[in-house]
Amino acid sequence: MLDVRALVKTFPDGRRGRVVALDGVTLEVGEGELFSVLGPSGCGKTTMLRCVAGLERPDGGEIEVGGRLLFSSHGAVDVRAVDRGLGLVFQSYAIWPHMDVFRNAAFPLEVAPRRKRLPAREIRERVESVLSAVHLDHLADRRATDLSGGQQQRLALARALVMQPPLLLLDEPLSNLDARLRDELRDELKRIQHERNLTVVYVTHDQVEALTLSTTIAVMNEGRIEQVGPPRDVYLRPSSRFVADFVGAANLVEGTVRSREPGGTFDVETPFGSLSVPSTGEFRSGAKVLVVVRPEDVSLRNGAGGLRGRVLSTGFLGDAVDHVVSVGDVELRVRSSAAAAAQPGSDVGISIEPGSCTLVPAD
Amino acid sequence: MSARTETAVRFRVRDRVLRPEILLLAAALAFTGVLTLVPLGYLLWQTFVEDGRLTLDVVREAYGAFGLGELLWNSLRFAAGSTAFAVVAGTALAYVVVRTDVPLRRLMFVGVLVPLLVPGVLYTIGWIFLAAPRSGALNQVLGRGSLDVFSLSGMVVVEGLHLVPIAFLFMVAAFRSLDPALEESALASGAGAWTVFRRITLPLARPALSATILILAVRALESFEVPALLGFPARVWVFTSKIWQALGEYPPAFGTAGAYALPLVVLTCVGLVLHRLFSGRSRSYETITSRGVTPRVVKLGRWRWPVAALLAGYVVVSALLPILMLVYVSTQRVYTGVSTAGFSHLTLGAYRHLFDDPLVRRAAWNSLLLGVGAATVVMCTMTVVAWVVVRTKTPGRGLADGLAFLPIAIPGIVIGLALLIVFLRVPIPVYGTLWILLIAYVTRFMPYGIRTSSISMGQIARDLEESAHVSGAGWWQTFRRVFMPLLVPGFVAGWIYVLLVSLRELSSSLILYSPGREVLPVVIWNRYQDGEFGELAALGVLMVLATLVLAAVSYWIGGRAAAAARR
Repeated sequence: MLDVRALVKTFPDGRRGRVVALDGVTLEVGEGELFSVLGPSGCGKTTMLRCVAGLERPDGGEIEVGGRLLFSSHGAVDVRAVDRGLGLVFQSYAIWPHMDVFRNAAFPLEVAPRRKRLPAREIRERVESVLSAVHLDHLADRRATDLSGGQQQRLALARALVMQPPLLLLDEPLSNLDARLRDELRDELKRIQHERNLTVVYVTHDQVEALTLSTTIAVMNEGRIEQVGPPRDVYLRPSSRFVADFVGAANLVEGTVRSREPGGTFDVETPFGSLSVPSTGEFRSGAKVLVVVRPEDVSLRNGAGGLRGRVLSTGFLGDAVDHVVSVGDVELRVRSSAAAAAQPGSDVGISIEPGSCTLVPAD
Repeated sequence: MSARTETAVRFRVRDRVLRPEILLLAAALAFTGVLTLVPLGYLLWQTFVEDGRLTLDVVREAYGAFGLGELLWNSLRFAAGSTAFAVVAGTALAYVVVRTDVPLRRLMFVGVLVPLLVPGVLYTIGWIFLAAPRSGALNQVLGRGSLDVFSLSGMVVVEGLHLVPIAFLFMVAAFRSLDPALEESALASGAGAWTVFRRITLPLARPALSATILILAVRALESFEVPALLGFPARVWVFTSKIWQALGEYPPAFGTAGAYALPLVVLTCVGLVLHRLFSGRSRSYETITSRGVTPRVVKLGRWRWPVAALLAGYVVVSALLPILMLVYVSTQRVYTGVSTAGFSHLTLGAYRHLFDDPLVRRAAWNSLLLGVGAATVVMCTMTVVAWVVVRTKTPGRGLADGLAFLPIAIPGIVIGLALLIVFLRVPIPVYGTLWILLIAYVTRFMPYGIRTSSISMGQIARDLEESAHVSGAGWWQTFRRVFMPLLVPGFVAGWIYVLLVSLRELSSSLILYSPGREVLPVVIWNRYQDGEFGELAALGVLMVLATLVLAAVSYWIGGRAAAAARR
């Protein structure tokens, strides 16, 4: 559906040089996918989205949507944003303050070229249907500036959907909302996406949002794609230190590969002794690696045996408790149920479930 | 040519040349360039070229009788004095009104701004009624000759008083935008109130202060009314009054006037360049402040009422006295100073005369026509120029911005002189019509248009346009349906401002008008020269009232726009 090939974009940095925002980004988004681009702020994800929308002109690469070439630096194609017909929802919503709710949503249909424009009655029907899909039909003649943040967000979505675009682009659409509203709108977005079988590219820095919402996640860092895959894969089998660190909380324990074992596991020497860790990567004996240990893959036991550690601090999360435990020279984050929690200062036994861990290269 | 290279070429042409912003930039450069550079070019030519030869004869002649040194020295003393007066008073007033708990702050705020309502020519004449050495009302109280408005110090004080509201507005903005957290964190670090003022408040306000000093100095150098009305009798010449004198000769000495004008323009341009440097720096300071904060208020304690009295005294002297003086004079058949006899013979005869005088009626109509015309032309063209400057990345846009802003450094009298030279040489028959005045006004007030437009455009989030593009709206539709409606409040406020300054424009009008094409300030000027003070004052009172109404409307629109923006 969306093909982005070797996209490069630089900006002047104010002096003589240029800052590289996109460093050869290649993505492939299938029909009906909800594809998240996840990364820290400044990683280039919004620039990528703006290039697809036609608001930014890439220095090189190609962009194709549904088989239609929108940009190519080789064939010298650059379809204007106006003619791309994609839906885009801005982080700031960009609701026009001088129009009412209906006018905002109807705008894309009203400005269509005369020969393609729908008759007024049809525009009305389309707008009403899209407003009811986002539950704003009862507010159609309200001033847009009188809407709450969540309602403005829905209106921005309605405006993007009214053209029935082949591709919907969302730029951190939930980041300006409070937590409860965010959950609610996330579910709604998923429902609308499912009902209309939309192809969506969703840019976010929030890993929870990306993990719960997406069919595929692309993790981006410093203008490059680090890893692409289903949420489970990205979380459970990160391919790099950056991904392991950025997606979910992780203990990164230094180790050295001793040998490869049958069944895709590696015997790794760590400060906690030797662990047998599965990985799809290729590591030679003697390779420096990091063992990715998720806090929930470590358990606390009272009594003797196994590793010993001391609880340095705890953080109560409601349904769980986070501990920082020192084990030798290493500090480990450990998550337990509230019932199994330990007190700060107490000595505890620790066991790591190596089968749930994975390996990434050390550098 | 292969198909691929052909599309590549077509792509490049559409992309590089035929984009609307390129065409608009070209139009903007042509418009601003013709208005600013052509008159200056003719001025240079008139001064340095005689019979097709480059010569310094005219310049030598101009400064032969009267040295450049003395003229420069007078102009700088006048400009520096009135700027110092206005900046010190304006900063102190702004600090007191914004940062202290002085009572009646709102009223004081409005009071300080009142002199803005009075056109310079009226304000100066008001002070002549008050402080002329023999007949001045204040001198009747203080004893004859204790104040002499016809002197360099008189010029400095009157010009200074008239500039105070501008300094005040700039410094109010500076003090308001100061984030209280910056001072509070210094207080929390253990610094005392005086240390905080010296080490935090003042350094943070310094860029704004520098910018204010420079813009006021430029305005004082350009000032015509005060030097012409007060300096002429005292033989204190500055550049602007000297230009006026040269043009009053028969035949008018255009070359001589040009020789006086050029150093002045150089001086004001230097001031403008420095101002841009400083205001750029003050903008980089603004980014570290948060908006919508209430400034920290300093408690005056037992000094509250004495400070209030001082403030009230200032408002009385700077605003009430000159205006009340005009009102009084307008009610006298023959003005012979303030007296009890005068109060017992009040008459509205002067007002009746005004309404019956066809010349005044025609001048009012001309003023209105020109004001509305100039405001409309300036705002429509500058909206487009500002769009190119603020919203596109077209190379060369900075030049268009600079050209549109340049006339702020050209004194009105020089614009008048330059246009006179242009249209005496170019066979376009606008001399003797209102068109030449319109061209002068549009040139003079372009800078206000470009400033207000770019500021209000900067406040419209870019997203709002981009989302229209993505929604399929082309350039024109986006401009018309999204950009323009959001721009309207700023546009109207700018329009009213240009209308206001056009209605009071004197210096270029005085040079360019011809009989039957008078405007109101010219009528006032001529009545003063003829000694018809009653009618002059009556006309002045009416103009101040009209200005008040327009300012109120503008304030109301601005308030509504701000309220809409807040939502």
